[in-house]
Amino acid sequence: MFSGLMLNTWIAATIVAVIAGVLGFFAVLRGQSFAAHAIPNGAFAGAAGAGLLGLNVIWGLAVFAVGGALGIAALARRARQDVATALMLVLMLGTGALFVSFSTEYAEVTYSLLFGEVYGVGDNMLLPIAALGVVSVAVIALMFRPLLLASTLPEIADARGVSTRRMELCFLIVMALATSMTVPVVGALLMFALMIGPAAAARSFTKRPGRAIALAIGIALATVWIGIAVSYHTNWPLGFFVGVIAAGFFLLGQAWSAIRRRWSPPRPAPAVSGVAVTELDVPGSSAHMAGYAYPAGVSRGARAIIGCTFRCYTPRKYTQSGNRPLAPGAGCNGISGYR
Amino acid sequence: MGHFFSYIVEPGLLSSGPVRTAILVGTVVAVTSGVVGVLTVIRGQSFAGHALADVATTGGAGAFLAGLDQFWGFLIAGVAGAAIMELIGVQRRRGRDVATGVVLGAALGAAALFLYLGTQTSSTTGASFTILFGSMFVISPDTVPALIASGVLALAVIAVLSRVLLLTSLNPELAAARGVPVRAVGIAYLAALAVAVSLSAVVIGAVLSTALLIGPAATSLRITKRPGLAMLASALTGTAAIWLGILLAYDSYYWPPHGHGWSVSFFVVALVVVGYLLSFVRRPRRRDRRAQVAAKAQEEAPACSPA
Repeated sequence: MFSGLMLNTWIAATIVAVIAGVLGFFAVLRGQSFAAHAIPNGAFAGAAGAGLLGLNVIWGLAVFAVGGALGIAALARRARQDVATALMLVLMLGTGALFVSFSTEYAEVTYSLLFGEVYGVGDNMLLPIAALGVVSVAVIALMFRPLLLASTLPEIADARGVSTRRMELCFLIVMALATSMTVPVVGALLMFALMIGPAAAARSFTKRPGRAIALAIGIALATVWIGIAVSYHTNWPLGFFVGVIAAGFFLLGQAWSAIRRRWSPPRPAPAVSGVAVTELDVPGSSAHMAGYAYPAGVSRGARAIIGCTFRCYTPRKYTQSGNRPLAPGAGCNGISGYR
Repeated sequence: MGHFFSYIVEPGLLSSGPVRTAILVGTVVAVTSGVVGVLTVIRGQSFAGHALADVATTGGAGAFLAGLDQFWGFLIAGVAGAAIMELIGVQRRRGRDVATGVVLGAALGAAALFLYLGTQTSSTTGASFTILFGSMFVISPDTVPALIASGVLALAVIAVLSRVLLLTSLNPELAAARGVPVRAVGIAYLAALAVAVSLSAVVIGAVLSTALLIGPAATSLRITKRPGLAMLASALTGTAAIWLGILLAYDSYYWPPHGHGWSVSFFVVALVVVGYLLSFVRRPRRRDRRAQVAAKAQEEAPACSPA
């Protein structure tokens, strides 16, 4: 189980799980599961096209994945995000269907690209996958805090000079690059299952971003390791086990949060319940300084994330300026004034 | 003139049995998808629509394994998938896309298993391709009545529920306050969506059925804001895309590479996306004119306040 080509499988799957955990956390946080599904899935068209032209599959995947990411970002400026994603996806898939119908060995190619060839990872594949994994995790680490702010509170990020549009574009491109490397290994469909299930499960266990990412990576690793072991013994496809185990972890997380919701004592109502979030954001406002004064609808997890991003985005001189109350309704002006 | 027409429409198009079936079923599918699609776009559930199509793939693969007709597999899996999504929280806006994604991931895993077992038990490998990308010219005439009946059923559900559905889509709180059972309506809508999606999964393939569902609907919602009109426009756009797609695919047997037709699915998707992009072309000019009118009105009555 750990010899020869199987060792390559274990290494490649481990790298893929780490990438999927990190990217998946942001995909779930930003509500971009659909893009996480569309980019790997649509990239398969590129592989089919590259096969037709006799190029390396990686180039086709990279071109279509990045092209799809750019297309989604461009269309989403003028239309609803889910509509833009759906249309980009079907455009790429339709092109893929055309390419595949031209080639002669279509069924095998389609199957292996959609469901992966995890048991045939050559030595020459490992280094590119590892390099790309390091690059994509490093890029996410570099833009971690602005990305977190843009993902949770887009209006406030814009007000603070963090371009949400640029953040979205960066994130989608990183996802596209990671995808183009991992799709030949685990397949488009598996990559998606590995991104969403573990990250969603992790978010119901902890609300803190750092811990949630670590937990998402851990769950993704557990999923893929158990999957490989079981798949090795039963000879059934890995995709089946990964999909089912990831869904199992998600249900576990749902059950955990349901239990905690029922058993935890009801928290006292927030002292100031009607404060607008824009006002909370303004550093130095009484609402901001009094940490408990979030609106009633803001959950503890959201508060943790908001707090974490504010600590980084609030220049020190403003946080120490004391409790300067805001005039009612001055929220937006306050923000631009403090930029 | 007749010569010119026969140059565009290859002779024998309308007398070929499979093509006639394709046109008939394609029209039913385009109308159903168009009408359901408008509600899907308004409700922001494109992802659910796409996921249901992929879940239906699992059913198609399972039906292939069990030796049933694909359509029943698509339908059963689609409706079951819709029920599970609703059960684990697709109705809440926050957790919706994650719940959809998790169901989708699990279903795709099962599809991988079924397709794998399918290739183990039989020697044909083309099944996975047909299931995923469909083929309009190989619909068996036996299933046509069932296809049409389920399309009509989905349309009837939408017609009966249309006002309530629109209200719950646009303002669920208001609907709940008026005593509308929001959740039951949501389930009925998802079931209709599953039927529409499995229909188009048969015609242009599970993976591409999203094109017929979202494309015409999004296009028509850009042109008009009135739901009824948008449904009509979307049904017409979808039908046009299907008909043109069939025509082009039929003609493409004479295009390079020789002796090999291009896939219908590609043409339908390309037409749908081109249609959507065209809807952007008209937009700015109209807005300019509106802005000019507003500016002019302001010039004429500068001090007039609406109150």
